[in-house]
Amino acid sequence: MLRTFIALLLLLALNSYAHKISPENNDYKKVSLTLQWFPQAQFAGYYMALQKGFYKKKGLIVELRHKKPYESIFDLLKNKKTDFITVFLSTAIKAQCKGLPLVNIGQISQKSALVFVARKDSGIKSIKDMNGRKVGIWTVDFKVIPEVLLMKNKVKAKIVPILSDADLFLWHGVDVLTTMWYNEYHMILNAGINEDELSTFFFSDYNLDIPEDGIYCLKEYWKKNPEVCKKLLEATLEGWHAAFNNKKQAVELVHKYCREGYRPFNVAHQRWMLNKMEKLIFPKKKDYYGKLAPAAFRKTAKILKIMGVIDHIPRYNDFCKIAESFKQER
Amino acid sequence: MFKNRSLAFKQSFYILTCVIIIFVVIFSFMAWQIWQVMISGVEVATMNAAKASANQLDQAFLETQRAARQMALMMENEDIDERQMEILLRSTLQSLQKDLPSVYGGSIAFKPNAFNVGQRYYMLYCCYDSDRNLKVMKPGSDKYQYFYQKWFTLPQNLDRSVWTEPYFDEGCGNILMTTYSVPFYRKVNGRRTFMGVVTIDMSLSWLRKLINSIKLHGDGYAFLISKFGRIVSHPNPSLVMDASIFSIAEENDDMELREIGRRMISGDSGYVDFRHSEIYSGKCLLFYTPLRSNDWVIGIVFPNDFLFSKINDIELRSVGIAGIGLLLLLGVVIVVSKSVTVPLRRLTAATTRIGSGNFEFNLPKVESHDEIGALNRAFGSMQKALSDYIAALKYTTAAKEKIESELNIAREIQMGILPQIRPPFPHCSEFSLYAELIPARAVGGDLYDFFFLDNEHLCFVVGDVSGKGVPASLFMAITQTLHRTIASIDKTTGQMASEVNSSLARNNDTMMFVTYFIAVLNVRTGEIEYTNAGHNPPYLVRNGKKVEHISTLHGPPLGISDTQYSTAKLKLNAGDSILLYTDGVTEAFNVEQEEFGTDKLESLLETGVSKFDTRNIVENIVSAVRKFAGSAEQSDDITVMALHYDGDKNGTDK
Repeated sequence: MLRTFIALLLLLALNSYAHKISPENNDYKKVSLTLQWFPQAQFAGYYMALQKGFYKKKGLIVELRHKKPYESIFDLLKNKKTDFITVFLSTAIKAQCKGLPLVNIGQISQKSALVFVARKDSGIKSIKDMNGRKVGIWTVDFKVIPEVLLMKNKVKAKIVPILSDADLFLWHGVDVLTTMWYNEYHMILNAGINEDELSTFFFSDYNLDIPEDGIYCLKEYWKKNPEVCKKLLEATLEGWHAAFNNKKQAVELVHKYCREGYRPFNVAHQRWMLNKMEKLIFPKKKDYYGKLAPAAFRKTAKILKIMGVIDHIPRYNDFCKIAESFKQER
Repeated sequence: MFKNRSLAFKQSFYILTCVIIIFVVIFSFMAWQIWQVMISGVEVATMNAAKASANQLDQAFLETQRAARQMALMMENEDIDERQMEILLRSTLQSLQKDLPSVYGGSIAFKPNAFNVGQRYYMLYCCYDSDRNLKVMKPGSDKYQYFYQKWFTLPQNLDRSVWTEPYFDEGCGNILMTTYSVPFYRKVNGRRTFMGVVTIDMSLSWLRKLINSIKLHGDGYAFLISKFGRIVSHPNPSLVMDASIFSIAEENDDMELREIGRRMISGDSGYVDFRHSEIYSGKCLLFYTPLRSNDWVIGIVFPNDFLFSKINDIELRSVGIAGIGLLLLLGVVIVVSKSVTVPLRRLTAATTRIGSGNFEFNLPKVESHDEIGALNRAFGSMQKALSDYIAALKYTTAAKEKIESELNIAREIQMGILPQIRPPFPHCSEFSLYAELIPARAVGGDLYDFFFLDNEHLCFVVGDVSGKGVPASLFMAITQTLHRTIASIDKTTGQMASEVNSSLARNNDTMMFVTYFIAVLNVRTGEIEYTNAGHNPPYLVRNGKKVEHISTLHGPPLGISDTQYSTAKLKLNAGDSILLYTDGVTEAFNVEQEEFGTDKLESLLETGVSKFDTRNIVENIVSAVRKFAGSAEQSDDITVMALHYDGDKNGTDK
């Protein structure tokens, strides 16, 4: 109830503000935003913002793209094939440290969705039980976080690099699988395994609650267009509010994007994902919505440095360029 | 409940109710039995259909597996070159394609650097184009890092061949397919090392055609799910690939369907009975059996409606037959009931007529020898007995009437014997006399008499014969006749009594007797000579004085033994009276069985003393006795005689 009320307030506020700055006639700014994965409810807020005209209201004409499996999202950014990208925080810190001059202009997800999942009947009841077992960890950049969890618990597991789905776990190819709570976790449930048959280890419960999805652009782009960056974030958050306030419509919209992208669509799965995204984007006990918390940033960077992924911890202010004027309230 | 209903109605109602209950029980039992039989029949037939389809699919899958394994075996040979690999792939696909048109393509894919050190991608891919020509490609590139594909990673990590979950292939064919993927190994530094995979792709469209072609009753249908519940084939195309049986369960919040899904992918065959809106809108049986090759599961939905329609058909006919049977039964029950009730009704009518007095009325004819026949015969006997009795009664009544009329005559005769003149001797001023005799029956045994023996001597008699009725009356008549004959002025009353006695006692076989008081009054002098033979002592009422008994007894009643009776004397003065009576007066009983007694008689006499009127006193006594007796039957003859002596007015003067 309160959330709806606040969302409405925000809508009103944004609306009046948008009218003030609304560009006359064809004075729209064209921008492109590349989302880091296939169409799914993980991006429902962007779809909703576009669909509802929140971007346009801010004077932006946004072109939404999904990264192809063979593409490197940072290459897209570096080569200016796209103005904005979405990536996980840890991935972005690493990329910046490796020399890509990108900046965070919005932090969408405030919590970690990472979960280790094991079958109870495999005997894994605690992280320590993973010693010597096959643990499936993604080949992509943010594999360091699961590795940190294992390391912190002094677990030596056989790491099996995997792609994004749960098949290898289902086929008993790994004993433990790194999953996203909103995605692979549900894929396992959706293959007929009940939750009470699973041992789950939420990273957020192990002091590894690090934010994930954020919006990034090149530093030079931000320097030239700080207002565009700010408007993009505001409209996106408005889109997320709209998605959570009308989940049915949001899921339908996801369906549309899946169809266009030739991706399988499953109402139950996307609904699950949307519900979990709500908990990640607007968690109840967070002070920050849409904005990267300095503590979370430092914690993440620190982990990366310890793991040898990066050689120095970047300054928060160099990394995060979210406008001071951005309203954090929900 | 049916108090006022006929026997036939009650009988029909109870019998039919019982029969209907029995029918319902039998029908329910039969329907259940038929259901069981049909289910087991359907189970066998459907499971056979499912297994036949599973076999058909398995055949294709197994054939593909065999070819892929052979190819993998060839690939273990390190000497095989690029040209040979292409020939191997082509020939394998071509030979498979002959029997299995669904075989769509195949590949030989090496892990990075395995084909050539420094060469990250080596994948030979062969597939049929739209013109059904085989084309060869090498799609591996930074854009298509095939070794991250499931068909590569699964056999690599699992160390065995797999059929992948169905997927939409974007790389080459843009079709729904499943891939059989066999890892192949080579010896590197003496160790068996994974080098890559050999795959054969199968289009799923043929498979879906096959599943959809399974003919089923009603709107039943077959569907196919993958090892993990993904819908591979379903009449609803929107469910294919996108949904799994578990996601459908989740969408509909249907835990039962989820459990069914878990059973389906457990590797067993079987069936469940359930209802679900997405799988089937009504109640249905879901049969399932797995494929041996890839653990996919064929499900067959068998609508209950179809089974029910069969059962309903059978039940409808059974109910029809039962209905006809019930009608027949109703007819039989009515006929049987009528065969009982109709004769009963006739019998009732007949007995009513007989009861009203028509004894000649004919009973209905009943031929049967059952209970009704027996009842009818019993009624017949009763009717005859009644009729005979009535006839006898008529005869007896007639006889009785005759006797009564004779008795009346006898009575008149008897009364005729008694002195009829009232008041007697009106010319005699010396005395007055009045007597009354009321017999208890038509004729009585009491007697009284008075007559003059000469001009001066009046003889008067009162007697009471033992017993009652005709014998007593005859004895009385004899006595009366006797003393009239015997009485003479020359004899004393004792002599007269003795003579009467001896005549009576002679030939008295019946041992009857008569109490007897005889007196002779000299009307001029008032002297009385008397003899009392066992009779109640008469009262002597002296003029204006107390009532006293004439208690002298001269012997037993007459007729018992040869007795000589003596004579007593007394003298009446003018104004004296004598009252004679029989025990019919004092021993009269009322309804309370109380005796009239002497006290009452005496008090009556005392009240009448002052002005002794013989007629009045007699009538008073008789009416007092009658009043006392009330409705009680008169038990004995009543005789009262009163004599009042006024004295000889003329004689005294002479």
